[in-house]
Amino acid sequence: MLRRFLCLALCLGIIPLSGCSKARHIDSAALAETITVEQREGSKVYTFYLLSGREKPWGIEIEAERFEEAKRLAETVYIPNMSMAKLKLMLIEKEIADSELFEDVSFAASDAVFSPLSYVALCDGDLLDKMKKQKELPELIEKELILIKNNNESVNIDFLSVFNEFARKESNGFEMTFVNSEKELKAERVFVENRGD
Amino acid sequence: MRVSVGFSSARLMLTLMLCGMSVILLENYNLSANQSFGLRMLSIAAGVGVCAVMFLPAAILKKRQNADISDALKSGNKLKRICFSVFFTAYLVFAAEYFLLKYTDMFTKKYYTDAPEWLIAALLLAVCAYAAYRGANAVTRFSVFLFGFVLIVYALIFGGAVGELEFSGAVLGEASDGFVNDFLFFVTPSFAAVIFSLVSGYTKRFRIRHIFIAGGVLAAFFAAEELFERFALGAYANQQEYRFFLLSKIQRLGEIKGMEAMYMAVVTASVFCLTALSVCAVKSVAEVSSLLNSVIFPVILFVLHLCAANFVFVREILSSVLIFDIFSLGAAAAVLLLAVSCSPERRSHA
Repeated sequence: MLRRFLCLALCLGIIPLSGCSKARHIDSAALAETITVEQREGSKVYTFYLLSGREKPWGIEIEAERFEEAKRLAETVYIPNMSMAKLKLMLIEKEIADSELFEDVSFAASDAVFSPLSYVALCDGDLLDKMKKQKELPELIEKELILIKNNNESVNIDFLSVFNEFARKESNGFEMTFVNSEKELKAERVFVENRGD
Repeated sequence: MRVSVGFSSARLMLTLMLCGMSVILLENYNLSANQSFGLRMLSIAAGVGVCAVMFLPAAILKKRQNADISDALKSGNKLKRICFSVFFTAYLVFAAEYFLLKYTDMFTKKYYTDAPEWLIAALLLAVCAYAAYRGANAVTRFSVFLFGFVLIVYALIFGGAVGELEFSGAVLGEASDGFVNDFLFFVTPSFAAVIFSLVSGYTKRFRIRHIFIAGGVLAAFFAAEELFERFALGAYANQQEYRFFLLSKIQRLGEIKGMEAMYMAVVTASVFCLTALSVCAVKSVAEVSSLLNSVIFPVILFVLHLCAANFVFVREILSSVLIFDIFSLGAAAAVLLLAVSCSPERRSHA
């Protein structure tokens, strides 16, 4: 009898440990799926697109000098408890890639919350405008990235491989992807010069 | 002649091997960052080889007298018994705390940042206290199921990361002066030899080859982890703490997700086995009642954990690889001394 009572008490005791008390409905959860970085009127803007049931993409725009600062602001000031654990894609405007790419990828590599297999690519400014209107774009971009990777082994498409290429001191540069939206959405190979430090 | 209920020696070795794996599962900047691959492999072989040698005194005692160090202690005088019991108890508490601290640190940093460390430690220690109360036999029985689970998880982690292996242009490492540091790290599983020497008395069908098989599997596992860390993670591995956790995040196996949760389950089970077996070993050297002992030592571990959480110098002492290795060496010397100087009562199994 005592054993049964103990088993029952243990089973009931597990309920608060499951985390359900803090659970939020998926519609109100803040899970960042895509991050874009662009230059706008001289300052850098990080846009965090969140998982939502809405028809249009839903995201928050944060002006910050660094990715680290933008993430901190997004998680604390804008939407408390926002999670980056489900981040799938990061797009960086090609014009600011020289100054941004290494810094952003390095930060993502040092932060445990990001998956090393999240995709990272360069893109044009028009694509970033389209991202604000078309919800299905990130999925199409991911398909393009996988396709180009399957056809060209040397192309780097995720944080893990891009960071490791930067870490190779002896190489001059490496290939990654540039998502071009001029006519139709298409991923192209682009050579990125290594920083040499 | 005393009669006791025995359990398979192979099962005990399997449990100790799983405990030894937690060394690399919880590795956190203890290895030299830029060591050459060949020397790293050599340090693994040398470290695990030394661990296997540390098993030998207790193994020979077991083979010849069918007894363990606890039996050898009981045959000596009272002062000697007290001194050695205190030393072994202190060592086992240190060993359990060493891994518990790393585990709670990793859990809160990597997996669930909102969880308080003391709560994780308290929950784990409560389960360990119950398992230790049930005895080493129950813990080793659990480890058989754990071994099956571990095999599946490692197959998924390593199998899923095979696609990430990049040998061309991979950095093999340049440094060659970190050998001693790496060797000291890979000697850490020698705590298993001390636990074996204290709880092996109840085991049956012991074969010396069990030690070398377990050592070989452990070394192969360490080598596999090193291979994947170096060629699949590359420089990325040095960017974050707890590299094996990072390895669990890079597997690509179709729609299978959440390998880090499986990894956490394996680490939890390994640390559980290690702590529970340590308490069982303490029970066999300190002659106090089973229930009392099963509660006292987890409480001591918990208090030490709280001290480590609040005082940095306590944490530094309890998580120092060097102090742990020196302590292990002392414990191995004590085992050797007792094995050659005492003539314990021969044990028989029911």
